[in-house]
Amino acid sequence: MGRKYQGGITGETISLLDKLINEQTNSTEYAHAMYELGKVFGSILLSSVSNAETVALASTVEDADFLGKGIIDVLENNGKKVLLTVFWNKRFKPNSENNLSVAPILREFHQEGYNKPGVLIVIKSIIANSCVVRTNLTKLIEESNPNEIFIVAPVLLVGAIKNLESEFDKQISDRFSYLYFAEDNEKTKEGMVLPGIGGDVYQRLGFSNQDTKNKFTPRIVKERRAIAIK
Amino acid sequence: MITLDQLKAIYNDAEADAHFAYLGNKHRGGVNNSKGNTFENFFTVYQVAKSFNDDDDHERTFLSSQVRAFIDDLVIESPDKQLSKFFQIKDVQNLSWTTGDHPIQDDFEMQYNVCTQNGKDAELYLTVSRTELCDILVAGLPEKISTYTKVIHFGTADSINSLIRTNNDFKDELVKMCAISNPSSDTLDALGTIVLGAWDGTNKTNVSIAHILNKCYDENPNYIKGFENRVSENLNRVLGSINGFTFVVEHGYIVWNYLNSDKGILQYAIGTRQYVQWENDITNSGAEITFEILEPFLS
Repeated sequence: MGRKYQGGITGETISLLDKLINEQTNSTEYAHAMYELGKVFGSILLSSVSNAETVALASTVEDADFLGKGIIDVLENNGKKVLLTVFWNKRFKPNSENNLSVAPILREFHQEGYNKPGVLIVIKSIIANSCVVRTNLTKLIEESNPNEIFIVAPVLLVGAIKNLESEFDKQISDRFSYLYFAEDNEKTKEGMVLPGIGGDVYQRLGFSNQDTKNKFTPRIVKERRAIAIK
Repeated sequence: MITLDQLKAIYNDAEADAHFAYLGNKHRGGVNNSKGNTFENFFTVYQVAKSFNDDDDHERTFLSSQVRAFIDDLVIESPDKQLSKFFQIKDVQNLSWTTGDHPIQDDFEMQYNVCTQNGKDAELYLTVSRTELCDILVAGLPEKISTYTKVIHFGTADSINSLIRTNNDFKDELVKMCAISNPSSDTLDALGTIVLGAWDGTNKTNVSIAHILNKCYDENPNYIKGFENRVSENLNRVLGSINGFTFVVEHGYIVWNYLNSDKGILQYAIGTRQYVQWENDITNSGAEITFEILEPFLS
């Protein structure tokens, strides 16, 4: 199994990635490491989106309170307005004999105006076959017209970028920029990237399985919904 | 499936043997590359959706691929109508009716001869992925096969998701098949990929449309248009009592909204076993239901 770090990555960030891989890391520590990685991404994004006052950020339900919150905290603490979208995807293989997989959106949360900003940040804890990111991006691109799209994940599987770009017209994929810290080149036949983010992110974050994580409503959604209702 | 005896009823023994050996080689070559995201499979998904939308007899419409036939990429048979449709499906840059060791015009002619010999009506189609090639093949269609042969253009892509964006015929059939009004592309992607997975999981020989649909119905959600358009009065009352929560039923699926912030489509089609359980869980909870109580049940 091979891992290639992005140039310029700090020892501190590598330690956070190692924490994800470490089987001894409990779910609270794991979630905190994701939050800290989000903050590192937030700092990088801050300079990339310096001209935008408002940005849209789309997260999966499992990443919203951790990786997503880390990014949002840095951006909002530095004067940016972040309009959040959260997707509850159900990923499954309609046929186990081939590589087909789908991740329909069962449920979605949007802050008002989410489809207006010119900058869209799409986050995911790991991108392997890009099925979830592809689904969520397809949905958002249909509903908005961002001119800059940041695809953010701590870890990618080699080939994920090519896979993702093959799903979109060039005029759309030309708007993609990728932020990631490490690229891995091994995947088990069950689809788990090695070392990846230390296994199944649902289980590592304390959800027993996909159904459990889909019954969860992130704290950040509840907070933002409550503000909207007021 | 063409047999040697059928060929011998049309051709002399030597010709029949040669044609039968050719069919064997053609069959072996075709079987090897027919899994997953292939042009042939995309076209078959389109035909399944079309058959669903045309309200064909799902139990009595059968699909086969790579059977022993001269035109073998997809065969659709409707025994009650005495009609078979044969499709040769080519994702190639160049193609000619008349060149090569086995010119495709000969395949079409021989397929028609076999069908006629067996007393079957047959429509023969050459499906190609490139518009320019389609135009060339239409212009050059040999007269001797022109009465029963059509050339069709059907664009291809790397995946169902891409195909929905680039092939309007494909998208239109999925939209018609989909339970949801004005479905977004991600919903169509799920529907199309589920149909593809169902077809790809069969042995691709004499598979009824009903069999494919039943395999699709095993997935939640599948977004296939259903007929149940009502929910029980009890559920209607419970959901209707939640402030800010609204829903409509679209061809068997509950499509909901909460204020301006949350929305979704219930993954279980009305009337399914899972839906009945879901409804039971909600209506029997006893407590006054708020959105916060309901939301874990919505995904």
